[in-house]
Amino acid sequence: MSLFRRRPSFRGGYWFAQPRDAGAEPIADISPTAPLAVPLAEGSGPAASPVVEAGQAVAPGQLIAHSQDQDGLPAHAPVAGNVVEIGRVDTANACDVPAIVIAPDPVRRADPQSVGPPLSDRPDPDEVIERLSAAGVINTVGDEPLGQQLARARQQPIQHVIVNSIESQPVLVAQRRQLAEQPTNVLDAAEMIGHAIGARRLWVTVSDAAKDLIRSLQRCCGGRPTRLAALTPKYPQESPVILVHTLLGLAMPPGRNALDAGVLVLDVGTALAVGRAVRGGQPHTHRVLTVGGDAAERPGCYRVAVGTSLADVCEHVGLRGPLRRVVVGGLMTGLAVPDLNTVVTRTTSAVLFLSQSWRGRPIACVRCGACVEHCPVGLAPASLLSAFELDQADASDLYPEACIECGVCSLVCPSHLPLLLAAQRLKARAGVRRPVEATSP
Amino acid sequence: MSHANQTVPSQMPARLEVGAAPHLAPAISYTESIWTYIAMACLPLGAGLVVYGLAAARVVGLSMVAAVLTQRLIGVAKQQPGRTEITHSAMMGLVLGLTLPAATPWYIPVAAGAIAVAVGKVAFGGIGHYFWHPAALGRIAVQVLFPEKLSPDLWTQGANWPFLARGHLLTGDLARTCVADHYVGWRETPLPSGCEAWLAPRPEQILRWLADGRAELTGGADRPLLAAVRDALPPWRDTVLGLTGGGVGEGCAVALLVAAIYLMYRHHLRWQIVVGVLGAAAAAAAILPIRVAPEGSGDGSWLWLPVLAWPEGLPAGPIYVLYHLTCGDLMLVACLLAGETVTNPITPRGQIIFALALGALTVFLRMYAVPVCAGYWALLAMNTLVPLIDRRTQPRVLGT
Repeated sequence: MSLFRRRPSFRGGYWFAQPRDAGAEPIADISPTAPLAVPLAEGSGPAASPVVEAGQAVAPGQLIAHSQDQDGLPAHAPVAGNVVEIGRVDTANACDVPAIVIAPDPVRRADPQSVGPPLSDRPDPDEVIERLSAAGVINTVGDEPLGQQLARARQQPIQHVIVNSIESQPVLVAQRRQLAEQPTNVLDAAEMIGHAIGARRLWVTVSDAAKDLIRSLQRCCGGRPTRLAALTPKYPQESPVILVHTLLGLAMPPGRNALDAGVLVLDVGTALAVGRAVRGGQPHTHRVLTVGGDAAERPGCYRVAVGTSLADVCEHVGLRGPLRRVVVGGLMTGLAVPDLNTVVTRTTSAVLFLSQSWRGRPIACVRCGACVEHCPVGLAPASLLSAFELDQADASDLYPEACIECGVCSLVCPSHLPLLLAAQRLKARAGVRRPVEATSP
Repeated sequence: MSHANQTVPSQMPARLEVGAAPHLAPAISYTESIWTYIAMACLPLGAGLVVYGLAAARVVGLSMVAAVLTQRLIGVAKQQPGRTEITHSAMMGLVLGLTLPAATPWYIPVAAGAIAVAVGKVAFGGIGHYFWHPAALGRIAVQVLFPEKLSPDLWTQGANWPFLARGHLLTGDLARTCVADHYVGWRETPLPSGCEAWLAPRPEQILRWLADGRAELTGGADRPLLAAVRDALPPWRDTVLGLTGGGVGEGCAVALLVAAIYLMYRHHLRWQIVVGVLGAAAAAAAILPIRVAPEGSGDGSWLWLPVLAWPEGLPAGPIYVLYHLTCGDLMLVACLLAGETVTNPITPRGQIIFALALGALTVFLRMYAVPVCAGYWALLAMNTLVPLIDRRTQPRVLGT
């Protein structure tokens, strides 16, 4: 049953103008032409160890590296091809990680391999966790293997599962597009996870500006346990802390994440990967990305194999104008990469090719209060910056660990101060000194 | 691994730029904010030019030049050229000029501009670090240093606050002044020949006389408000358009409000400040008592809530409150000075407290304490309290 509740919002944040036709183009495939470098380590886990050798032919979905460790994830070949070498590669988050380089062979026919038979409609929780780990499904929210998150959740029960399609940063549309193309699969996956971990409520969140999407979802949701929630697409609505606050009214203590409060947040791409792993036994080898930016000639949503280099993506979408900055992720939170050899991973959400870059010369804080007014979690970023610059020993009364690193403070600062950087550094420092466990109220 | 075999698009640079998120142009810049303030300060300046003639341009020009030169000299001495600092000083000099009366000796705007920048701004460390509004500080400094030039005698006609008369706007000579026997309004009072400017009591002073219970205003009756509103004060069209004596930019409430609305629309000024100052000033004027002197006997009594006075079918009380809003320095403080971010509390909640206290304090000082510059004194006083307000109005962090 779909249920529209009041449309709650949150204080602060920033409204980006979203073009009305955003995400109207269907998802296109980028079939790799250049060699893929499948990274063997993602997130914080240890690297997987290769089980293939250079020169060996691989089939799509074939296990190419397995993880000895429970925290690690296996890797699978996204396409048919030949292993060129066991080398190293850069991802946006980490430099010089081990990788298996596969030269795709589009001519050779090889049957896709699965990681196991399809599970039943109401699978056992242990089966689901095992399957997600075997398929290498990683949750973009939290950058952690989903199987691990679910295993942890068995100790602390999860009440809510939220599949989020809201992307309130400019340009990003991939989640909304995936939901629009496969609404039933998303709902199936949400219900399957919800059943496996015994969640009380299932939610699909959509931007309340996407009227067509809401209408079609209302039809799909009829008679199903998943609830549809339309929320304001004000940035950073998709941040788990804010999402949980606006949707469920839960205010997380600083430094806690949604999982600590018994809420599992997934993006649409991850939910679909779960569905494919459980229903079809398919490993997590592809990711749907928003490819955009003012330098991209054919921006849109693309389904990209893990390990594809940004140069390959760039060649596919074409360039118009000079390329000055390439951002992996959104314009607000993404990372600028130094070169196009960086590869797409299972957690990449977007690749943006920009022809301009902006760097304001900072002047002193003019105490305008814009950062305070716009901070969605109620911090005083200007005070965090001065605490950081003064190397203040104890900044705990400013709660740097509450920062969700959305970057709105830096965006609205008329003095062009690096407020986000200061908050991130203070947060990292606070994390060292004061572990999350010690902050419980 | 290498991608040597790949065709890399021709627009590809050898190396990409890296930098921290967000990868977007900043939404707003302080330099733009300063320029917008300068542009908007030109509206009351234009009104001042009309009402006070070219003398107004002279005063504002001198204070701006003094401010910019002071900033430049200090910049040379400290070997710190700063274009933003100079623009900012020019803005402060301009706003400072708006607070000064047009008929002043040349050294007063010069001293005010130099003090505003050297003492009020640079001594504290420049943009972002000063404690009091530099322009208000410069204005108060010359008020204290040259009281005989800037303080009109409270009980006479206000010797040095002339304004141009009918037919002589913009081009008249402020030195050829006349004192009206009974000034009833800019348009209504007949102008003696040979005169180009009026010397008339400023409405602000008449409001002060009311609070003091001055005998002529009570007119022997117990309705001082009626006497003031009907006879003593000029028509309030004059105070709204700025056809009264005063600082160059203080008079024209319409120009100031237009400037403030544009600044708010462009997010360079918080509405909380303007609404708070004007609202609190109106409330204070509505509540604070005026003195009613009964005939013949001593001190008289206080009339609280003057806003309720409605003698002989004339809404004298509400009109009295409107006069408080439109005359004197209150409007200039509310629209152009109080919103200065460095000397403001940092949270919107703190700014509301600041603005409310500023508006009420201005009216209080005007009625019972300093007869001129009440708004600037109140602004400096509230600037002093900003750290206290900030400490009490920190935002609440989510989940704490």
